[in-house]
Amino acid sequence: MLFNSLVFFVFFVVFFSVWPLAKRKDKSRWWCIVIFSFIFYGWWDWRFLFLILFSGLIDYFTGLAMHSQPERKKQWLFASIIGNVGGLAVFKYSGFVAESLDGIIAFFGFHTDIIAHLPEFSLIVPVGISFYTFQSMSYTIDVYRNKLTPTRNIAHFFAFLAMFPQLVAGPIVRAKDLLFQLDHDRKVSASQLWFGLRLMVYGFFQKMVIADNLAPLVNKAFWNINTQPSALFWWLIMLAFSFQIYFDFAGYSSIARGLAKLMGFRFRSNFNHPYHAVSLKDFWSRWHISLSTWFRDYVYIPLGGGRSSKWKWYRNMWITMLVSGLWHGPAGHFILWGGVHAAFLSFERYTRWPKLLHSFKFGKAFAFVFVMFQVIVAWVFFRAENVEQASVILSSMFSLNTVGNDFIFEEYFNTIVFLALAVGVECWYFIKRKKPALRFLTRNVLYDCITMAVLITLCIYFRGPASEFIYFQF
Amino acid sequence: MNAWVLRIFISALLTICLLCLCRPLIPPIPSSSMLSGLFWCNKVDPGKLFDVVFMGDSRIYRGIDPETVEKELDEFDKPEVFNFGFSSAGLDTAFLNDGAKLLNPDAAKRIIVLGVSPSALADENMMNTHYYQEKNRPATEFWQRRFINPYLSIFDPGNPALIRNKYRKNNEGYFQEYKMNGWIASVKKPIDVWKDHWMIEQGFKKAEWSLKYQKFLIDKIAEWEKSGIQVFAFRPPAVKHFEKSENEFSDFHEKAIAAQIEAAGGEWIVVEDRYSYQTYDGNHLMKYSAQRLSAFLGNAISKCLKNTSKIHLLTTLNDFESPEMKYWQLVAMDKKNAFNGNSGHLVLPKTFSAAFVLPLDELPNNKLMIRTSCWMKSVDINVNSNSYLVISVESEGESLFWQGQKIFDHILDKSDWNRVMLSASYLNNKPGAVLKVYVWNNSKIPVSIDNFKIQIDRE
Repeated sequence: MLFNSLVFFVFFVVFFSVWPLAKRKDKSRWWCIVIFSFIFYGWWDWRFLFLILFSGLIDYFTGLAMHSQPERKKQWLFASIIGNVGGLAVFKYSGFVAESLDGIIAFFGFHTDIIAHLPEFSLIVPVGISFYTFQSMSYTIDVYRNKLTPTRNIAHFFAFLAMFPQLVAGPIVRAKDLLFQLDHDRKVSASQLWFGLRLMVYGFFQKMVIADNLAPLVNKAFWNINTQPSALFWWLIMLAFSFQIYFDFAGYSSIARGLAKLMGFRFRSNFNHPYHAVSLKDFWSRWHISLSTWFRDYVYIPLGGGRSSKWKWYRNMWITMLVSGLWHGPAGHFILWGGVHAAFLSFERYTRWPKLLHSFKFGKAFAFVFVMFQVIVAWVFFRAENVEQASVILSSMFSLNTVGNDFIFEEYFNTIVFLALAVGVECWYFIKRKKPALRFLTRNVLYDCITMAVLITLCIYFRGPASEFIYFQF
Repeated sequence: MNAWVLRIFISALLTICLLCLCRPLIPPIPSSSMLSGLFWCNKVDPGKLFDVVFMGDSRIYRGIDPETVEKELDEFDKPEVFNFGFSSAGLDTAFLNDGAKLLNPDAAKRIIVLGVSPSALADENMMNTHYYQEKNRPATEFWQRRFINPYLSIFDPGNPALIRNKYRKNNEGYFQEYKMNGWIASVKKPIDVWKDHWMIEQGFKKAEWSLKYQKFLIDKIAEWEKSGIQVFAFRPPAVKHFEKSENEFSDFHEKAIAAQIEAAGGEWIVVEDRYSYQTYDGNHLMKYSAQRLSAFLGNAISKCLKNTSKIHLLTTLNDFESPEMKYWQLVAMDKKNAFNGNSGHLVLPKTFSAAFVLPLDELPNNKLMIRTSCWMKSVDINVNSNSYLVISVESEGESLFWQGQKIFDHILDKSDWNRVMLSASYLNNKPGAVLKVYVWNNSKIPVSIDNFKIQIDRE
């Protein structure tokens, strides 16, 4: 079920009619969340529910087993990871592995067709599988690390795992943050109601007005690589994609957080204006925070982090970034995206350029531009259909081709306007942060109400063609 | 009232005011996104049956106006016409069956008209992604599109370019009228007839055209014809450079497909002045050209339907099962190769087949329509590329008329029997003239023929 659909509107109304009554008692609260979340998720395809049940049941029972048999904790943890990663491997990576094996075998002159022999179901990627699998795994790992006492109630567990606002595209919520919130009836104050609605409206604006209006040109450009070969065109496309993916994903996170607020829960922020970053490290502390911290806590630090030696930092950072790329999708270009970021981070660490630049007068501005440059170049690998397409686009971006530049403004007027709006929104936040007076001025009822009205009007009259959230595919 | 609740109320009030104020200022998109949902729902499930169904890809749903066709066919009991075209539709059996289900079984005349374009026969389009996407929409979404969305079209969005155009007073845009008979009357400004050409240049190079789908289509037409459904087919027009690229990059052989469709009992309509139709992207017809094409096709179908009641002057079919037959020269029967029955006729290299010979004095002095067809097969049709099916009229050794059809052009399946056909019009006003119809094998290897049919009508 898409947030930006009429069905969800009906779902929203029904859920919030039932919720005030259901939330009063533990069991009814948990079951209400589980049932509505399963309806929400099953709306795509009810068969996907078996997968979330499978992943959840593994971790629910593993958590209990670790608690009752502490001496066998390691084995239980291992079993849980095998089960979860196995599920991911079958549904998300089997096609990639089969294709890669076919390629490797073909390199030695033999012909195989492993991919043709895979069962059909394994080639379908269930919506949000990576999100809830990671969320489920974090529960078991936290129990293993004694950071969490496992819940005995299965509805309590599934209310945490399947809670519909963040089920399919995050933010990835940790059990230690959410389970205790589910323990009691949380009153929703009028201010929470307002802030929840405001977050949702802002999320819808990000998704429907900016991301959805940038999407058509970006999709078209990637669909037909030779739309226009000029460097300016491809920089425009990549800039549009950078803002499309940010506003799309941040929009989803805002809606999810807003919904959680209306239910009385609190999710941590998933984005903190990543394009304000003045170093790549800074960027990663602002982008998809729930996933970055997940990888930090469950991959990077267990590997040893960066404490022992410089080279181990490089090694662990590279592994984390490559795994992060693989998490996004079973394709070479996603792994390369992780690799490109790892390379840029290595360069940053080796040269310490942010520190050097920041000491100059306009150093931070240069640093900001350089970070954007690196991020945009890396996005090429992320968005491209394959590595070959990415290399063609990159060569176009760095070419001196100017064919068709005269028509760009006229032809892509809509995209340019929405891109300017996206940049404007981010500039507005930047200025607001820097100017306390402006921040003070905008903290009043009228400003808030006018902003809400304008954003809703824009969502209705300037919404782009409805599309799924980009991160659903992960 | 709580200050936060007050905020919500003020915001709601301001939103309503803003929505009302902005509606007249923001021009909505020319094609209602809400109505398009209803249109596609109606297309997969129109809720009624029709006498004539057009099937094909986007060239059909933008290029055929059922209302115009209905006007042309008005005299045949006011038939109801429906446009069953979908984006990138492939003429595969399942899609064709679904389209045929829309025909009224009680109709006096049941007609299917197929838009046969290279794209509609490409393998990749046999998935019929758009059709199944519309057909398999969840019931709730279907319901919403059909019963809710049309009432929300007041909230159709606009975009900055529309506001700019309104300010500049130019009416650029993509204007699409969704008709419930399946037609999208389309007007796009500015026109760019090269716009979608890259699709042909890039897409067609990668695409494949399997013979099996073309044979499925021919078999389906034969099946329909047997069950009393009349089938017409035509190639939807596009601009010249489009067709040129389509012919160059695809395995689409128009003449061969046309011949085999006619062999199966269908009627191939050749669109006259096909390059005179105006498209907005080289590929899809503008509204008025679509109406012109619809009128032409309606008229062609009408003519054909009238023709069926005409009395033939003569019909003969030589199945080469016996050496002698009236009007036919003696035949050397070939027991090894036959399209059906026990024998066919082998035309040796650099010779003529047994000819049909008819003194035209036996026929009235009118304009005659001579139609001929025969089934043929060769070990290597590429070698037979210079062989012809010929209609000629001679008088005292002098040639009065000669028309030949290169056999090669009508071959769809090079390894199997194919029907070759030829039609000619001749004014029978010269006494002593003799009509001859034969196959001229102007090649180095023999060619087998069977079921040689000749039909003569008075025009």
